[in-house]
Amino acid sequence: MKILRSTQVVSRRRLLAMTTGALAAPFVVVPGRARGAGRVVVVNFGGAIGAAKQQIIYTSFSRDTGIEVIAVPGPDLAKIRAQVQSRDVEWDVVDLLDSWVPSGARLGLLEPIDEKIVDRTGCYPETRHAYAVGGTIYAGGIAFPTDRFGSRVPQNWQDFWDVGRIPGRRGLRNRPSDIIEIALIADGVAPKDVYPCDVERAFKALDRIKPAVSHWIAQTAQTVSLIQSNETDFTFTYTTRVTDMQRAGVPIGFSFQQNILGVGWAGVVKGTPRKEAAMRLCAYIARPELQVAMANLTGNAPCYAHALSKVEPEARKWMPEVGDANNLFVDPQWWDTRVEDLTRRFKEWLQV
Amino acid sequence: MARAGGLERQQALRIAFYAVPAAILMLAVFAVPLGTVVIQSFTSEASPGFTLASYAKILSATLFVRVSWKTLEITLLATAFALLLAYPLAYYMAQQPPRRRAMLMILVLVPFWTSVLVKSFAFTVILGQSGLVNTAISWLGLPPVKLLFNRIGVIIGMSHFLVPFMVFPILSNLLNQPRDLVSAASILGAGKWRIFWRVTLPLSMPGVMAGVLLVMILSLGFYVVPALLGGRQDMMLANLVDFYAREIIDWPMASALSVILMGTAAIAAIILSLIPGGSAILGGDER
Repeated sequence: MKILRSTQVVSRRRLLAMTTGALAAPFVVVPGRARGAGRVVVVNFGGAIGAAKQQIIYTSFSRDTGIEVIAVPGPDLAKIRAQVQSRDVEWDVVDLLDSWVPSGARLGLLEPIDEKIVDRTGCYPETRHAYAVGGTIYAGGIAFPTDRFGSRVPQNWQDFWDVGRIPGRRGLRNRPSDIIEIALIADGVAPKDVYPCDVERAFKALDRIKPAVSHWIAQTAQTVSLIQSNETDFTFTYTTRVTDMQRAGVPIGFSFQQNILGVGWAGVVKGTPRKEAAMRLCAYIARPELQVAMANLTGNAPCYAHALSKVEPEARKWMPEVGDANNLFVDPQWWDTRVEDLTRRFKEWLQV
Repeated sequence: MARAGGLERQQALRIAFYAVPAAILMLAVFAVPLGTVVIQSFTSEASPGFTLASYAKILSATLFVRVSWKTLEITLLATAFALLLAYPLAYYMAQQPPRRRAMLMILVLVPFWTSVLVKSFAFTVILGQSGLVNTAISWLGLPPVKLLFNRIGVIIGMSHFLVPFMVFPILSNLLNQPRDLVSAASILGAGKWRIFWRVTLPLSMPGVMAGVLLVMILSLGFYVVPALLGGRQDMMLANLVDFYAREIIDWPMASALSVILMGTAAIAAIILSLIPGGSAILGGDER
């Protein structure tokens, strides 16, 4: 009993010290947001492209402005919303998926882009949005193995749907976005007439291809790994995935007919105390010459027609013809209010 | 009698005193956020105030009903499979000398140290059409077996992750069983099989129940494995929670789905507590 009491006395004192320390910690360990305009927090998807952004965009921004860039991985619209709602904004500039741009703007999670700071003169109209800057254009299309079929591989979406003429297992995504558009193009709709999408027609076309689809792919990495492991033959994927595989020596090819184009966006989180610094970083993301440097490293295209010609020939080979009438820019605006119902319908359709 | 009651009350007070810090912590970091989720499930993005809109939407759409059943189906299958694998393993481990058991323990723990995502990709190499298993099968002159991208793939992937959670409660129960009982049964003439069937197995039921409960609750929340190793029909509720929370940003819907998932787990826990021997796991009286 005595021992117990004596330890209690010591621990109470220590407890007091610890509690005080814990309570004082937030004031001693200054969180990033309290330091003002000296730094800016940017969130990207990491990987090789994240490293390229660090090397090209963030470094030149910090060198010119003296503002430190803290890059963290894992953009997430739900987390942006949590920060905006709690008025505790830690992220300043966030890389955004196509579908997040209209919903982020609608939900009031993004600051309008300050045109006085960000110069986007001459960019493709599809890469311009009032609440986000386009940093790059990526291309989706058909990937195929180069060792198993010779030249009997699908080169466009009509081929992809023509299972009789070009046999082989198909792989599509387990979500409706991109897939609805692809189904319409396969059914003969010209890319310029895809929007507004004829959903009924798309599902009818999907009914036809369904028996030939061996995989409805959840993760983008699987779109190429499943070809490599001979689980499927032809998939919808992105150029960067194919170049990664080719570099690793995998016999895989990609078709540049009928590409689905998307934009790598960045936006500024609503209510950030470092708004000006964030806008200035967006200006760097939008700079044509930096986009060319990014394109040389990553293989994704710049958002300016005049910049494309400055890309090194080796990287240029992997870029789609943006103005080509056979290619389609996805329209996130069309998806914005429809994605929930269409996803539910699509998943139900997958279940039967 | 009155004095004994007073002592008991004193004891209860002392226990309550020690439980206060943990209770406060749980209240702040667990109960409050959980309560927020429950409250949020009765709101709507469109209009303020109390509404059952999300629940109505869930119950009226065939997708949600179908996915709920599928979730339950996959959970029960994976739990049963994990139990089948884990019990003999735990039984074998319990009989080993401590040093050997520690070695085996490390082997059981290895799956803990790799991410589910990485393991799922690794399974493609082992179980795929041209994977190790199918290559071996084709050497034997047999047709290839489809082990991936169907229910089999999901169950293999999930059990692999879940087996340790089943092994440990069972193992700790087996190790705590008095050895004398086995000796006594043996002296009275019971064979090895009979001892297991009449003594060891019934006594291990609390451990089995604990494992089953733990694994079931874990399985209910799975979604990476079914998405990567399953077929187009293998979809679980957690995928829908993720979809509504992170893609649609409809948090009332995500909350309502979570509440349903949580309710299912709670019902499972209650059913287990009603089974004799089951309550011990849930903190009930162990005497």
